[in-house]
Amino acid sequence: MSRKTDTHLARALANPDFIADFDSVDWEALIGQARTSDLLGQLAERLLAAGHMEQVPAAVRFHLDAALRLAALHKASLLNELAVIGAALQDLGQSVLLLKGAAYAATGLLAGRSRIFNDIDLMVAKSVINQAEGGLFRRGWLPTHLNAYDQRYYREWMHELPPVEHRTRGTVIDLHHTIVPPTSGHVPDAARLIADARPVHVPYCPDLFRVLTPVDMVMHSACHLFFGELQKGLRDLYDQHCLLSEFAAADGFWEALLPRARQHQLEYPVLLAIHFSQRVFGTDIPDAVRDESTRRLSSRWTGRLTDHLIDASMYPLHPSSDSSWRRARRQILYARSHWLRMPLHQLLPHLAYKAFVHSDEQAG
Amino acid sequence: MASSSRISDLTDTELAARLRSPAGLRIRLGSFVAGIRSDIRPVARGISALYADFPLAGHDEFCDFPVELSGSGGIRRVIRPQAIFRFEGMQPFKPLPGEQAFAMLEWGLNWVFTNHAQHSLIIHAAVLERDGAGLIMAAPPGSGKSTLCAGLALRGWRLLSDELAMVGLDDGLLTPLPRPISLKNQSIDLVRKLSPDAVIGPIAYDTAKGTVAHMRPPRASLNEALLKVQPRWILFPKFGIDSPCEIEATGKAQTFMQLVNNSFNYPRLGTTGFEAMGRLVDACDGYTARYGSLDQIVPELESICSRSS
Amino acid sequence: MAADSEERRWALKSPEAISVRHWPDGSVVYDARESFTWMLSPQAGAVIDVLKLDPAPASVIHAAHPEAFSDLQEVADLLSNLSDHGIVHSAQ
Repeated sequence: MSRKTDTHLARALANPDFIADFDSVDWEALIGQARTSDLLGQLAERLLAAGHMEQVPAAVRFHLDAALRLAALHKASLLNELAVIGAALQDLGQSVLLLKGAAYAATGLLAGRSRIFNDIDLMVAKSVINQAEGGLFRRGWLPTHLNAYDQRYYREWMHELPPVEHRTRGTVIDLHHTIVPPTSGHVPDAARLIADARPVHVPYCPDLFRVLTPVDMVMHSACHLFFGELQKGLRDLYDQHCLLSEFAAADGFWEALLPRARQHQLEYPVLLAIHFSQRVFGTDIPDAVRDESTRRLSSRWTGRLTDHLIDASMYPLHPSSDSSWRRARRQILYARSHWLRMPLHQLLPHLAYKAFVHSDEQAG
Repeated sequence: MASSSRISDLTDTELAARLRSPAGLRIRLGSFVAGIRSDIRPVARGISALYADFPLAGHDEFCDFPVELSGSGGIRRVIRPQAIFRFEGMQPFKPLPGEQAFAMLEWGLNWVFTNHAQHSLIIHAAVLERDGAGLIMAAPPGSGKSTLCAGLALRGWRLLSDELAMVGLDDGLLTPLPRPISLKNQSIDLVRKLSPDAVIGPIAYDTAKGTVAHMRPPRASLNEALLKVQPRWILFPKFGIDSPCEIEATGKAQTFMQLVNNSFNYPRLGTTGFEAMGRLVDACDGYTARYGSLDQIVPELESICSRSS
Repeated sequence: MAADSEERRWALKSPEAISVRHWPDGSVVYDARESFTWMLSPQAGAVIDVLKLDPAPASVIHAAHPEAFSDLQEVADLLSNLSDHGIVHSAQ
């Protein structure tokens, strides 16, 4: 049979029953989209939880099983790294927040199940961030960006230090002091985020690690997604869908979400997260919250355009779901991600420098 | 006819048409189906020479690995043409000069298999089978492993792979993935002279690995490509010009460590990898062999392998 | 050898992360925490085996593997050597 395949992955993740009458063309599109979006493990997890693995043809199941195995290795490796990081940072005398994937996995959240980690995101108070970096250096992590421009770019303008990479194991850590770049003009109260964070137990670690509260976690995930370059748009939005679905049951979650986001000047990304998560994955959002989001988003004059651009980044970069029109919109979105993070007088020289260095490296 | 036919059943025009079709040429590699798309003529020539005996997969079968080898567009098509490898639309490597297109397909497929074999411990090794028992020859490039592998395959050993030993994490067995044997520099002529049966494909000059060509795998090996094999011997070959032939037993701990150095995914597998490697070493006799010619080592090796099998 | 050093207890840094296999030509040790594999003498392998369970003094290691060592001094020397390489450390 031939049908449109471009939303196969989102639809299968939203509702696994969607695979019921799949033929090999459908499966190829689904697996290909999941591979290119880094969502194969989560897809497997979703089909497994729905009890649909038996319906999956053996050849396809092989790859889902492979993804589950790979994800299990990522999880084991994360726990090992956290044990080493725990030892490296225990003298800090302050809590260390796990962010994003590491937080989801350590807390046992749905969003962290069979998720792939490219790096480990940590957050500490700005006053101890250099000390924390030193602790990691002593345990074998090394700076990745040795060039002076990059070092300055991160240290002056960003919400994180240049990534550090372990010299033998290759694991990468991003050390943050807040959840959005200060240059974006949004200034969340980092001290409050840290003070409100909740302890999380990590095996073989001192009592050191914390995770953001559910509301803050959603807020950060939304910032990461909509202030970022949206290169893994669908994967990050699926995180959002899992978080919202799982936290929905918690007392007072929905009542607190938007007010709290306003307090931290981060309402806009949260509104987008609610809107897109609902549109792409059919997330169950209470009517009142959904109505408020729609109202506030439509009052922004750039609303429709942004909506249209972001939509393009929610399709996997796979031949079965990509098109030149979507590629063009993603290009614009890439530029947008920079102007959201930085005023133009800083952004333009930065992009010029990057373009220059990039073409230089290609020539060499 | 669809699923029992082989590449050699296709005319050159049919083969080129399948390579250009959206689904690609569907070909069975071990237990997998690859969908190969290409508009580059040397790729079609290489496939027709080296994959002649490979079975075609049916059109309604799931394609495990869609790969594409395309030329660059625009002026690059004429001046210094390039070959671009894609997997699922992604481009994991930089383009190579157009004349290396077929070699790039082979390297690309190696990359695809190493990255998707989460069920196996993968060792950079040639693997062959005789009397139901597996021989793993592990060595870094330049140690003569592929030449020795081609030599044994031409003497009737079953080829499992010339590059990747895939040791099952669950069952400890070797999964066959017979594909063309990669030959470099002098070994291309050497193997050509070994047997009139040796079919050598297109030659790529000046690659990162020197001059590269491939030998067609024996048809009998393809017929048994789904039969897993119990590993029995591990050999570390070391070719040296004019070297006398010396084969000595290697202790298991020593063998373990050498295999670790030749493994692609051992570090990623954590404790699972350690356990799998331990089981493999327990199941095998280890040897280190220095030799100066195939004439010396092949009889020695065959005598060891019939003695202890 | 002074009595106090015989009584000193030795430990592995992260025993829960250590796996070990023994063969006649040596023992292979894997540290999952550091993702590191190395080969040790059969005697050193025996030491790791004991310390994996609990920190222990040389005398306990000697008693557990009398076949592996000619005397207690040999155990003590080996421990000090392993300690120099950061493989074991003093538990007190």
